[in-house]
Amino acid sequence: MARDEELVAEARAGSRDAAAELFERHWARAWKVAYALTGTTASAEDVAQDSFERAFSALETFNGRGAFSTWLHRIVVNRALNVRRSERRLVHVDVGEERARAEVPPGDPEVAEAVARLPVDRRTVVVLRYWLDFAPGEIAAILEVPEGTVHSRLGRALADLRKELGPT
Amino acid sequence: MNDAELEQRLIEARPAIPAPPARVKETARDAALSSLRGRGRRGLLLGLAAALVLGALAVPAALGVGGSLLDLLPLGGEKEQEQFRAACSATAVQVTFDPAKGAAVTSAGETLAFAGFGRHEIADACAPLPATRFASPYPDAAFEDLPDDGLYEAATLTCTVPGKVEINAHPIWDGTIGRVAGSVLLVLRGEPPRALVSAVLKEPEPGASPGTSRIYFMPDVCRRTR
Repeated sequence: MARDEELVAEARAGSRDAAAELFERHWARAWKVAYALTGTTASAEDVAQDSFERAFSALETFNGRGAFSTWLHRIVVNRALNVRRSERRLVHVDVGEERARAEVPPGDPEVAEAVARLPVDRRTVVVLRYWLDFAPGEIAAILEVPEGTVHSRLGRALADLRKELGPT
Repeated sequence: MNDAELEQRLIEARPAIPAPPARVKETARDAALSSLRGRGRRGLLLGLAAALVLGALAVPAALGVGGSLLDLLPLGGEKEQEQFRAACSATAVQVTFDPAKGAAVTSAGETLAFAGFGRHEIADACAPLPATRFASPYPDAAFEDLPDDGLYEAATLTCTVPGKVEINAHPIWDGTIGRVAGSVLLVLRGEPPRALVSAVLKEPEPGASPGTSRIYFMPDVCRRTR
């Protein structure tokens, strides 16, 4: 089976089959990342589709020093955060309304609500780490921050959540 | 509740994320493959990117940053990940930020520093401090007073400082695309230095780094005036 980087090289040379294979390998994960960060099917569709379009139209700027999946997920995360920011600029949404609007069924409503109240940088690392299973090093590469920053944001997020959720 | 217990609770609270609908996948695949073919669109985007870079290079003149400044970042070469630092005398600094153009630090009407997407400069009125390469000269603690959420819109800040500030300017090196993708301009005070302002300038480029220029500032010290 061809490696992603080989498929990228073929896609750059114009191979639609290689590009389709890249899409096939990464679509579901990219969509889930978009869904976890935006909370609605409609936004996840827009973000995931737009991210692939951006990635494929800019394939020549991918130099293969990092993984294609990291590069793609960086685009997805940035697009998802931009969508959330745009929505917030248009309409003030409080946590209760946002939760009611979100289609992601929370496994534990109290924890989900506490996560939703975190500042965006902390919420992003919590979602990527605990709900999408990215390693701290991967999160650092996706967010373009040092790994130490990921750990400090996670530490601050856990401290915030501990205050919110109490001693139990 | 200790960290391990809290982490376990977070994992158990993971929302159920369904698989993406098949109809969406087909539409997205067609659109993605079309963009692969779209050389015309790519050419247009590259043209826009070039125009943005030229615009950023024109900003220093508009902000009054002239030829007397030390040019701190020739693009490319081994300076790609270099951190530049200088100490500047000031009792108040004004930081002007435009996410589409750049950020400038002024004091008493004099421009002390400027950062655009691929270039930054510090006035030679400031005393250079030792530069470092490949690593930040500051610990994470230097940034603890900055909030997590930045401003993504044009703003002007006025910050009161104790007679001296440290300015740090460095490029953002994006390893996935193999080039400088923007720059950061920091204003710090005290010893050890604590960051008052951090302006992150990134090109609104398709691909690795969608437009994410933003500015963070310490609200107790800096007042937003615009």
